[in-house]
Amino acid sequence: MVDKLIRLTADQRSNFVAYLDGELNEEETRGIEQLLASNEVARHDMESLATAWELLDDLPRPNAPKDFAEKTIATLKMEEQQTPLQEQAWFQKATQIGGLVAGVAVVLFCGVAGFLVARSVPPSRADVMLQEYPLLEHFDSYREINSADFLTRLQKSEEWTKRQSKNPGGAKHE
Amino acid sequence: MVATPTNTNPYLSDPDVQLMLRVKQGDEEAFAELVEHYQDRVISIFANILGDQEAAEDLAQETFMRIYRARNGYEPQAKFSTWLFRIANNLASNTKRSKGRRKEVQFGSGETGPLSTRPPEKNLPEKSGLMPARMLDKAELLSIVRQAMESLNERQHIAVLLNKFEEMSYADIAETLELSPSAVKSLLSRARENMKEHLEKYVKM
Repeated sequence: MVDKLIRLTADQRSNFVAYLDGELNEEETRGIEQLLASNEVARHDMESLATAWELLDDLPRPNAPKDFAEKTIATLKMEEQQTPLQEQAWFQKATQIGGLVAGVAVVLFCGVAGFLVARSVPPSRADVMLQEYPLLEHFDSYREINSADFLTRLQKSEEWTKRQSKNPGGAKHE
Repeated sequence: MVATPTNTNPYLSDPDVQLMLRVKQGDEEAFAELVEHYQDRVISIFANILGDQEAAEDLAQETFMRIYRARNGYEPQAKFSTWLFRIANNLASNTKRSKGRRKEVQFGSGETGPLSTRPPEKNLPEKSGLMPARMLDKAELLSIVRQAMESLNERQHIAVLLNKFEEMSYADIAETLELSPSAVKSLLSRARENMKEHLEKYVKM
């Protein structure tokens, strides 16, 4: 008799609603069913919960007006037409791609322009001296010789041939 | 959003997800089909949360418009209905919050439609005279049930409506409200206990 009226625990009560909704596993369902079979308080609570739930059937469930879908689509179309160009998806995408293309074009342009500028600038005095280093290295000797004809004649002379055969590779620039 | 591989995505079997994927491809008829499929259900939920059919229709329209605006980035990561009602829930919460701020202005504006909230306690039977539900006048009963619903907090309210009207499972409600299933279980349990206690004051159960 005491068992039949014993108060329910919070856990048991929380499982009642889940039981009514069919959300308990087999073991929990069996537990609740045993409790219902043996406890009057539980049975009354369960019945009250079920009745209260049924009362919600009386809540109104109004339907949409017949032209609801039509109006919604028309509003969307109007919105799309009124959307500023910069907020439209296709424009944003095009801007992104355009930006990327413009970026690549700027990089390429800068590269080509840099190359052309570098080529068109006259070399500095130091650059010229470096370029002419083999000549400058023996500039003093060349100045003393004073004439290229002299060197040609010297190369063809007998004396030069003899010296070359005695000392091949030596005294080239003397 | 992260794209899920198509062959392992369980949501692709949802016909409404398929419709939404067609909307993503620019199929307007698919969108109209989705609206027609859900319009009454969404309006019912909003009407019961806000107590105003006109406002419910406006919010339902806004819900579908948000769905449409999100079409380009849509990836099926939930049942379509779960996604839809999540958007609806966010809209309802925002509207209720701003409505709450304007409450004083709106009080005393009178009844404006069949869903308007009646003044508290009006039409309710005396506490001492509990009657079986079947013996109460329909309007009285509706008023009592509405009051019981209004006694719930915002989350309990929407969870009960999704559970009752949409017959959603706890797992789906959890996904819609971004809660765990066990949190939904205790949310619904508390909500229904509260309603029962409220209704017991007026209705013999």
